[in-house]
Amino acid sequence: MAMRQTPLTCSGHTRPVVDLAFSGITPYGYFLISACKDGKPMLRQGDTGDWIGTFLGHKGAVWGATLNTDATKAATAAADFTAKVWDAVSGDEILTLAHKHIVKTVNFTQDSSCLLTGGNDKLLRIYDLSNPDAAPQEIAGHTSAIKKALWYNNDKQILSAAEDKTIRLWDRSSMQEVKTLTFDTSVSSMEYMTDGDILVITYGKTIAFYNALSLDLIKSVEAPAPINSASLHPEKDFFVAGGDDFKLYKFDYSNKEELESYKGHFGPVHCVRFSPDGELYASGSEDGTLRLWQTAVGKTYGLWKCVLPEDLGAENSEQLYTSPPEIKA
Amino acid sequence: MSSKMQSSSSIAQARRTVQQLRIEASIERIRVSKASSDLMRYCGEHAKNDPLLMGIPASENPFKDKKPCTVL
Repeated sequence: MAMRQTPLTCSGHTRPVVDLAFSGITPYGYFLISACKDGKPMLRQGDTGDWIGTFLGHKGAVWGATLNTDATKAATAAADFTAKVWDAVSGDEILTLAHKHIVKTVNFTQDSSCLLTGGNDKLLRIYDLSNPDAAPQEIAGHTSAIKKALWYNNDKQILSAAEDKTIRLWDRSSMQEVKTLTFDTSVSSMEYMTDGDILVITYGKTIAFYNALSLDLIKSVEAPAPINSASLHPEKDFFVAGGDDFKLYKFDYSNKEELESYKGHFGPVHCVRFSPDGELYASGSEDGTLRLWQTAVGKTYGLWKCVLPEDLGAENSEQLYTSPPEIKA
Repeated sequence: MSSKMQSSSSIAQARRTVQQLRIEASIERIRVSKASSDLMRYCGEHAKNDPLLMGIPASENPFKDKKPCTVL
């Protein structure tokens, strides 16, 4: 019984979308920020994809973007050698943090008091947002450009992935390296489920799941094509992945089976993220669009409405699910 | 002399920019999802008035094919 779904296509960016982040669930719903090579990150309503605003100020491609849990602040990392912190409610730039090279990744601590940045200068930096003029703490160790850095273990540790094919775990207070994971190829993405215990890492065609406390491998799954990003559903029953063949794959987490694949993007998928309530996932692609996909196809949620075929005498019980508008922002 | 003229034209230019920005800031905005569903509903409700969907009756069509006329 095939169920076709129409994703919500959000256009507006003029260059490839390279990073996406959802906020937590706020009294106003949840929000999504997209980082794009056109230098203009956009804030959208998470469940409908409606454009809310664009953060103007960066003078180069924005490589990383993130929102804090209550979506009051946004942070972006760009090729203009700066990371910026923004007021997500007004769109104003709050801080510009100068770096010595392209900044690739930014991450807020859970209480939004500190910002972690990492980039091509191979250093991890921790900025105290209540004291922005103070020099940041720097952690050195990676031997090539840092692609992604995350706060870990209740903000007590830091996890970073770099082009040197390693993922390193650092202790925040001692600033020392605690553990290193080495791979044969460069890691394409790293995602951490804060409430759990699982770290999702992608490299080559593999999607690997690690125990977040011990950093032991739980399981790994091979996909049909090189994968750029993967995300695990909050309830850990399945995960989605997207990569160079333009498709989105959905796998069952327990038995590693490929459940579905969705075509829609016109270019390689660079990032995939589940929403905080798990009802949808967003994918950003080389084609400059974001697409929002339903997790439970057929459920009435957001702008999606279940539409059954007119002809009830049809042999096959194929159901068509359409979203009323094809959104163009 | 020329710098005075340049500064007065750049003031005029700045005035026009501010005026344009004021106009843009006061434009009424609605969400894309609401705008697109409104558009779709309008098109659906007015479908019977749409010549591209319903066609034009042959009596009113000035471009319909005419029978060849013979001149005696």
